[in-house]
Amino acid sequence: MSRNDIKVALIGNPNTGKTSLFNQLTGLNQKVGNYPGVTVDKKEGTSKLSSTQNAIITDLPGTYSINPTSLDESIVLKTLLKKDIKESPDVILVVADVENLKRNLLLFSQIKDLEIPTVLAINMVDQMHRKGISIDLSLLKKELNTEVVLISARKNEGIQEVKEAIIRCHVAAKASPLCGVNHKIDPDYFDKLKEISPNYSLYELWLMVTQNNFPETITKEEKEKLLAFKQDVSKLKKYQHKETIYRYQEINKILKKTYIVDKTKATNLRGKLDKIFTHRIFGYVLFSLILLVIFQSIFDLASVPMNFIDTTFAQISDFTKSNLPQGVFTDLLTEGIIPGIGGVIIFIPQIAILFLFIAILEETGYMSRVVFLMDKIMRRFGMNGKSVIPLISGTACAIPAIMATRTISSWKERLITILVVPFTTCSARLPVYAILIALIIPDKKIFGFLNLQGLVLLSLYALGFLSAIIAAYILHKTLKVESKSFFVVEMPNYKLPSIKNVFFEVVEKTKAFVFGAGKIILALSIVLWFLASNGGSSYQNAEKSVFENIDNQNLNEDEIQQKIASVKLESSYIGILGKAIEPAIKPLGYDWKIGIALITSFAAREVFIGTLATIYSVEADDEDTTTIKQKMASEINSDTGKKRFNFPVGMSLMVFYAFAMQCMATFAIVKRETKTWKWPLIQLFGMALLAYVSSFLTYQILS
Amino acid sequence: MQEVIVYFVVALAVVFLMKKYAFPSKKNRGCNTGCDCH
Repeated sequence: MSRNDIKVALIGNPNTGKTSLFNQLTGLNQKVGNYPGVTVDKKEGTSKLSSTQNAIITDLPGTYSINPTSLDESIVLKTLLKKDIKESPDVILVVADVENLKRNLLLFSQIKDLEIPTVLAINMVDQMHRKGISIDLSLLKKELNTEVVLISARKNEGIQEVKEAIIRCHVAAKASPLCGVNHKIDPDYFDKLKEISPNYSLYELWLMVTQNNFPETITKEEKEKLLAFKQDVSKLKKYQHKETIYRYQEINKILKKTYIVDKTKATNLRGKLDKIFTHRIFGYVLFSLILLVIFQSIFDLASVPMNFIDTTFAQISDFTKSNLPQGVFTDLLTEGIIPGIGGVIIFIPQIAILFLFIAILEETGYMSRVVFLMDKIMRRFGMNGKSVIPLISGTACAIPAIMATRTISSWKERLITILVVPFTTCSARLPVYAILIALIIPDKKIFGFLNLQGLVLLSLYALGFLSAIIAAYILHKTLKVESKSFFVVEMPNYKLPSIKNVFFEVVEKTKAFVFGAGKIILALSIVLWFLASNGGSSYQNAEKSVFENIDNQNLNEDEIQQKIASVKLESSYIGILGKAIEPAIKPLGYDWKIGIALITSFAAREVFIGTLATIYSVEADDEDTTTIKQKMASEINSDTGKKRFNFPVGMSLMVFYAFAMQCMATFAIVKRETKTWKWPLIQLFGMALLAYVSSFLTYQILS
Repeated sequence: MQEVIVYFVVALAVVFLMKKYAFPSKKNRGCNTGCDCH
């Protein structure tokens, strides 16, 4: 390396063709990948810029911004903050993808604010015509106040221009910031920060404070002063947040004048598919059809494995009972543990099918189009397109869905999304719906191909989504929270789903359901069995009291045993608790046994089925009713002598579960995300009240 | 003997549920994105 060589750092977002450009500039033969993070190590090469000038090019890891989130990305920040004359870059060459220029310019704007001479190479310009993109290059250069070159690294176009731009940039040596955002956030604060050292630009000092990354050249005194700025962490985060929003505002302003995408000229497949998937009518029709196929499949494809699992667990229970010595532990196994585990395992096929479809939709890139499509609708209800991701994620679980709201920049929109996400039908509701639908909705086809049970399930998912957006609208109109709204979404290219990725996604999500909820269900099943198998003096004297009261009745042995089991259950600890709450739930059509299941399912909704399975197992003495479904189907309402789970009760229960929060984990996560008890409590009681009133009306109208 | 095992299993279940809901560990409180983050 000669003293006259220009040190160039090559920086860019992943997938912008950075490594291709590096190859073209240096002539080194490197692997070119199309996946993020191909450049993991620091790679250097020499490039002959002119007959008298060489450059040492360093290929840095791909990054979306210089706020590092990984070890790779921190290499970029460290390189940029270096003040060592031997190592600090003379010129930064930022590579951007012409199709994702807006996102790429975020990184460029940050680098420009470091006041290092910068060249912007816009890559993949050979795609511009097909994508309907046109760029006013001279105006863009003026607006960005930098050298801009249009290139196609793969086709070796524009490489010479890049070399010339590097030389010009190096000769000019002077660089000015692009956004200078910090001064616009809080001038007093940043004036004080700038006073710390004249050797660094304001943005460099700001990065040292926010990223806790200090160059070796900084003095001890300067470092201490900078550390003092770190004390108010919430203020730092707030300012960082503001900075990113402000940068995008500036980028939008520039691109509005210089970057035009004419969708009518977009002739590529992606453009054509986007036109269909994001069409204002066909887009929604297609999305509805996809949802219809998913919910039809959940019932049609899952029925065979579900029946197999249900029967297998019933057989295991029978086998255990007949092969182990009689006693309380055998009872615990056959009436508590085995039915409890069976209540979780049986729903694996349905959960796996649901996640299979969601994973395929995400992998293909279609989900991003749904986000874009739904933005218009969401805005009317006080949310934005990004709220769709939590709402769709909510079909798996409300916990990650509520965490996913962190990408929503507006606090009001985020709060509304957090509060309405629990309305979407999560995987924990699926077992409750599935078994109730199977009990009360006939398994028949409409129009010869539509499964009625599948349609009811789709309606329940639609009810959840509809409730979410109605609740959002009410909150939007009533919440007095001021905040600005922004919507930025990246549309990835369409691709065939990776079987490996889809497989891992399905396995991971199903495992989370089975092992996350499964442990709780198993523990609760054990405790419930104990409470249902023990009681006070009336429990101990159940047999005696039955024999005293059946003197004049002609009952056979089976009937007597059934009566003893019923009296025992009613006088058990769980029976006493259930009886205490029965008056409150009777108007909804529920008895005390369902009441117990409602209480325990506050831990997790899917516990509902496991609880009923345990309670009915303790009570049942009929060898023909061994599966969970059979146990529930054979349960008789003692007041009417008819089936307990008839149409009005089934519908009332499904409506209750559609609206009730019934999830301790969701309550906890809302508290953590909103940092107050106020919102989770409003959410819990609001949803409980809505569930109670709706179930009451449903039952009273239908019965 | 069976009664002893039953009491032990029930006690284990109660302790598990208490740990999960009544006294969650700090690790669980700071958990990330898992659905079993109670």
